[in-house]
Amino acid sequence: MNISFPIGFAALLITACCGAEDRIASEEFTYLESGWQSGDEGFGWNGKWILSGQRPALLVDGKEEHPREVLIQGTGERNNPLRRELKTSFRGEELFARFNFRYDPEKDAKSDDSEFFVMWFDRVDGGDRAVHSAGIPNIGIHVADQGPKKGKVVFIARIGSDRTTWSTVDLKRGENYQVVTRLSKTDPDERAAFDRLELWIDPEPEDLKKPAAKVVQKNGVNFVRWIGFATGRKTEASDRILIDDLALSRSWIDVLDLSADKKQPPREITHNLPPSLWTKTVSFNDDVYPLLKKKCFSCHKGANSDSGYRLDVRSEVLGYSTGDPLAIPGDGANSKLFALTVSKDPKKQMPPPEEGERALTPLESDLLRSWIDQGLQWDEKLLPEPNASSDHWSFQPVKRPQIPTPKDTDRVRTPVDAFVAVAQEKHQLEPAEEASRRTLIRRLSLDLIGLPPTPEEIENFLNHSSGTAYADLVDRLLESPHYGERWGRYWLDLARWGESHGYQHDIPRPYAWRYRDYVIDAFNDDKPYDRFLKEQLAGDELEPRRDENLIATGFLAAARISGNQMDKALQRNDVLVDIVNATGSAMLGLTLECAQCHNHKFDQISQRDYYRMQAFFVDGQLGNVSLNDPDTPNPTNLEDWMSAGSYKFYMSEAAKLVKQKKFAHTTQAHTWGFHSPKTTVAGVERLPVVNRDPLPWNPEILKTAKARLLIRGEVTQPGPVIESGWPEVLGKAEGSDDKALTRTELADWMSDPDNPLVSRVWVNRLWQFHFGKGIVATPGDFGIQGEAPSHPELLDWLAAELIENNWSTKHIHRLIVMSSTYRQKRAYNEANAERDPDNTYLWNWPQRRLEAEAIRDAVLTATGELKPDVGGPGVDPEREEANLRRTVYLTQRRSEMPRVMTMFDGPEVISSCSHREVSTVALQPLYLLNSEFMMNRAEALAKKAKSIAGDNLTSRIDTAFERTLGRAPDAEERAHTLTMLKSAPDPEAAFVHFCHALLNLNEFVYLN
Amino acid sequence: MKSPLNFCPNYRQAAAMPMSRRDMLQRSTLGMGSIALTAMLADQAGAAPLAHRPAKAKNIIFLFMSGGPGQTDTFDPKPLLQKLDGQPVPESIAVNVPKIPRSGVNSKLMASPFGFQKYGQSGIEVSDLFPETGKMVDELCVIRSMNHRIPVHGPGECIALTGTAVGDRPSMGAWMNYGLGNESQNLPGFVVFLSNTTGPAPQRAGWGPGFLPAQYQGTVVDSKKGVPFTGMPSAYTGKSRRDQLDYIKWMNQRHLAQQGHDFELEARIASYELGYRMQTSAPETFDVSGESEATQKLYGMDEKHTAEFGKQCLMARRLVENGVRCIQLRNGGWDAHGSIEANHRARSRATDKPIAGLLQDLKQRGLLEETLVVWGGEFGRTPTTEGTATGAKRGRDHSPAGYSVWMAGGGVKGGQIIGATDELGYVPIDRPFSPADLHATMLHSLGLDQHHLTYEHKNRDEIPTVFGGEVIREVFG
Repeated sequence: MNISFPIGFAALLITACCGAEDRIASEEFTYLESGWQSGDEGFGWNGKWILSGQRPALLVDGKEEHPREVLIQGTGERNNPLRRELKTSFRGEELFARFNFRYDPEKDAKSDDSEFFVMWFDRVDGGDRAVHSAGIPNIGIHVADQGPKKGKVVFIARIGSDRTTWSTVDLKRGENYQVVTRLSKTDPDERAAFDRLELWIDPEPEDLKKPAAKVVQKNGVNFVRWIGFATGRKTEASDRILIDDLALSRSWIDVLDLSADKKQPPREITHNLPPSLWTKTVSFNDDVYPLLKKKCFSCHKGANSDSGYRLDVRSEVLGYSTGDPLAIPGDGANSKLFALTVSKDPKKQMPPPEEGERALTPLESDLLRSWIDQGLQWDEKLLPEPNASSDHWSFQPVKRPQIPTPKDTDRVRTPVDAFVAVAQEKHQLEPAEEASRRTLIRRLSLDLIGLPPTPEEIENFLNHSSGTAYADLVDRLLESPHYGERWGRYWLDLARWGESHGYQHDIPRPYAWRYRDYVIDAFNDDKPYDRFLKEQLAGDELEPRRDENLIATGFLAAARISGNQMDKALQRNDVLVDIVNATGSAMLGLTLECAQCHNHKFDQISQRDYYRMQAFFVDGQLGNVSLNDPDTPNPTNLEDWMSAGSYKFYMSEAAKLVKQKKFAHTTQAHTWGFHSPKTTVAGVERLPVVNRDPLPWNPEILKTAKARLLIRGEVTQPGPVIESGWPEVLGKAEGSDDKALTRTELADWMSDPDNPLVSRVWVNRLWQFHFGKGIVATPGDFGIQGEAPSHPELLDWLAAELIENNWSTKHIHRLIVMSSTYRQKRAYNEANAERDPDNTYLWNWPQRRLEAEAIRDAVLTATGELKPDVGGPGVDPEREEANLRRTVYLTQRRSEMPRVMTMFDGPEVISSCSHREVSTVALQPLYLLNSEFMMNRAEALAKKAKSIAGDNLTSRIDTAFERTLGRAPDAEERAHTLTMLKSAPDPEAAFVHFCHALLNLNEFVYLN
Repeated sequence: MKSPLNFCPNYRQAAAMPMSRRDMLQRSTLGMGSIALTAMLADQAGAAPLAHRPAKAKNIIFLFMSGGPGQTDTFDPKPLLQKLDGQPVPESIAVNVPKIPRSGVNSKLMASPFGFQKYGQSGIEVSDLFPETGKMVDELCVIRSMNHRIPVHGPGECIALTGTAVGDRPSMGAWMNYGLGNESQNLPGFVVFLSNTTGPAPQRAGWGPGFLPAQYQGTVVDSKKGVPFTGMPSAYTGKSRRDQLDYIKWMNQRHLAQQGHDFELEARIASYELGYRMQTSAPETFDVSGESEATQKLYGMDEKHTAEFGKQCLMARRLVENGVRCIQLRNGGWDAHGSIEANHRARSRATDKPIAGLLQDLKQRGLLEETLVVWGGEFGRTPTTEGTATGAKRGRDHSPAGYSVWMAGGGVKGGQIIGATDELGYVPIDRPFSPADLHATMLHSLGLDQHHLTYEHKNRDEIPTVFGGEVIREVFG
């Protein structure tokens, strides 16, 4: 199936300057050499510009930001060199207008020259010599009759020649000015006159209340249909007035281009090019195609073209996926494709000069130029649009495979075993025996709830002889409230969740913990995974409004925000990029981030696809969002869950904002979330945020915000407007003209059974968290560069199971942990190791070190000190001793992550973390042996053992072993330990040291 | 030309466990020398010879002046600025100032409150903030044309120390630690000192591992307590600790024997021995009391203002002697939005003598040739004054558009100036360099080729200078 492109796509690229709803009309005067003839460009006009027969305005080359501008010169009498009719008469209350203006007379012009030049707003055109004066608003320049600038040429505003206000802004020669005006009515009635006119010169956004000139006049026009420019008797032939970048709008924000919807940068314009050497009509097939094939296609053909520029697809030549057109039909001279072939800069020249034989002759270059000039004719049969599909395995729909039958079926407990056994048979691998029951209860307990079993639990399990003992244990653990604390933590890594803004100031987000609890609860409740994703992507859009849904948007809101970024466009883009990258990685298992600046080098993800994803989020913002369910708890004792330093810092930053009236402390329940003034359900209030340089919040701007394809990922180079959608290779996404796809629709697409990635990515993650390695070893990259699945059918079977069982995560857990594969023991086998050294086919249990949280939690379980409280605000890591809760509840300010987490490979909390590394560093034993925390635990364990076992040293040793390793010492260990303790000068101290040693053992910190 | 992306074609570091032996080598600090280099050499066997050149420098000390010292007040004198004090920025210069927030072009120019003098044989001008460093100017290569576009501290520090403003990539120190390997058996390979942490908060990314394994990150060392957790709890004696370690080892080896072959478990057993050595020898390395009085004085340790930074500089030398390859000495508080005269005087008073002492000491011990010393902040400051302050209250805003750094030792040709800013010190007009260029140059000095120092992350062979960066050749004469 071919991709269809919007009609007039090339034209869109050039005129895409008018996204904002407030815009009435605009004109950038990017007309080409052919001058005004090239038609009715611009937006919001009825017909072309009308030029004066007396002396018309000319189009000339400008410089830098003004590649083309309009030149107006005087005639010594009244003249209207340029005027145009609006598409619809403006009858609103407020009309804003702006244009760029420069007065650049010929050098010999008199310096004491008096001048007259205005822009007028009228109901009628009136012809070349009309006087647009009585009751007609004018802005422009004139000699001041009175006031401080008397006799000087200044900017003026007037409604009729009798009511003029002279500003104090002098006109300087050669200087560029942005002239801005507001025409408004005191009486909003449609028939009332526009009676107020204000003028600004080079205004800043905050200058709205400070116009440079203001005039009030009762009798004015009551609507505007024509605008134009006029010169007068004092304007001489040698005067040069240059105009550019005209816009009419309903709002100040839009007229100043402050909306998030930035306009496209101007194109580079080539000057003074001689006529083309190519004089014939160009034939694509006979002339162009052979040339491209011979000189260009070796590098610029196919999906992986050099620098992402491909010349074998017409839409790509037009810049479809990069926003950076290589050719502008009708304008060969200014098209990159031509310009690069004639560039004198060896770094830019194409084909590169070092490939001497491929350099284009002048005639060949001109052929390209003429081809573009003549409309970029193409042969779609010869070079068709590529198919937006891929044969990559992970992009194909999930198909439930047949469960295979291995030769040896004895070991098949769940279908998982059948898939695993078949692969083992194929690779001639002998699976290991089942692990001991003692090992299994420890494994299950650490794996499912992140806590080791207590000696009593072990005893019960060993004595429980019924056939359902194992299944009962699995059920008990999956129903434990501690299950969510263990498995929710994996999701928090994926969500790059932290309790602060990040970057330099890293200001705390006091209520971000609600999202942590949401995730834990979601796992405990076995919330269907599709619903889980939907709430996180679009919770604020879901009816009915529920606190839980709003809290779920903490996923999007976990993006970092620089608190010291004055460039708002950059600050905002960083947040959007963070959201898109995290969503792509966590939910889709794709490295979308590669396409931020260029088409993905490996996967069929274009830059356009990237910004299509970004478009889902442009109308929203991070912030504190009000909650109002009566049962939502609302603790306000912030100082108890932040470190002293971060609390003090937070309060001082808050005080600053309070003083500036930008923030007020509130006791209203709220959460750190994401919401949109456009799509969020009613009843959600935004509360102020403490951040030194806050993300701007302007609902009006956000409502009309549009995503733009950023050329090469540069905020300063916005390209065409992009509508929301997912990568084309994953299926067509189309909103309608008046309604873009929402985040809810994104979530629906994610949970569509036809989505090839979401279910596979999730079951693969579950597999990885159980076995240490996924069926796809690159859990965050299911693209072409990712590893192929070791058991492709098993992956699909699990994905199908997930979907067909209401997206139940616990269902997948059961399929896995009930299997014989999971119950194997860790057993090295020389023959197997030779065939499969990485244990890819799971011929024995893949032992691995526990994560930071599980290490600390296991220590606290061994000592019996762990407080089992679930949920609520975190614990300040500096005061952990006073509240020994699970590690997941230690407050996670990004710059103050708990020590145990930075020590044992915790996430960086910047981007989505699919897999934690395991590093073995000398600082780890130093922490486990010398930190105060661990010393206290050693003492607590010794005390606990003594309280249970009394004074008998042997039973104390046994107790300490059981509490840490889940087993009694064997005879040799017991004897060795006794000898060591008895020979010590201080046996009590030695017993503490022995307990301390147990907490350091490999056997203790490894999941066997 | 070989693209860094297809370097090491056969090596796919598993994104997940269990680890191969190669992974183990990369992820453990077991004193195996230059791990990355060994790995790269192994991968290159039979392929093209390594581009890595013989290194002049073995060590690097980065003197990171956080907050941003003003270039026109330190190493880039501008006579015209003195003349135009209080004037607006002339159009001819203003047009070239990049349009980034707080560029200060609309403010009034501010003469440097500091005088400049020529020093040494080279006659390089240094402001009177640095009379001691000035004496060492013939060792310095001053680069006056650094620039980037990030005008805020956090991201600015990130770009200066990691190459990108986001802060999610490895710090240069971590790359170097990875590339050079740890020569020391007893100390971390990359040590960071924080001093005068007033002003912008230190950015962990500046010494963080990014996607490199955690052992390559900088270890933040307290100049009083040394390496974290090397202090043994008082409940232990040397003997009881040794007994305990022997017990742990005995138990771990029994466990290993039951488990069979396992690199990870073996590495963890070894890490206890390394930890023990670190615990016993680190305090010695950090104890400067044995240094002669003359040496202590050389670093300014006898004076109140210079005692803290002086001690850290001296520790840096001792670390270098003990095989620590990468050291970052961070001195905060250069962020002089107001009262720049008082601010920069205080900062230079705390650092000038220690830095000069360090250079001199390294030189007299023959260590300067093999130790690259780099001085600089995350950006410079505007030639204009900030806001409406007058007199001594005047200060300058951040300016990444043009700023100065210097390098010394490590094969650097001293006594030279590279690059130039315009007549007012706003933007480079000759040889503009990015932080990435500086990074490439630092790596080059250490014998590491930016394009061949790769680490696979998310299936991509990542390099330190992913967004470009060229070696500044003339630094090495």
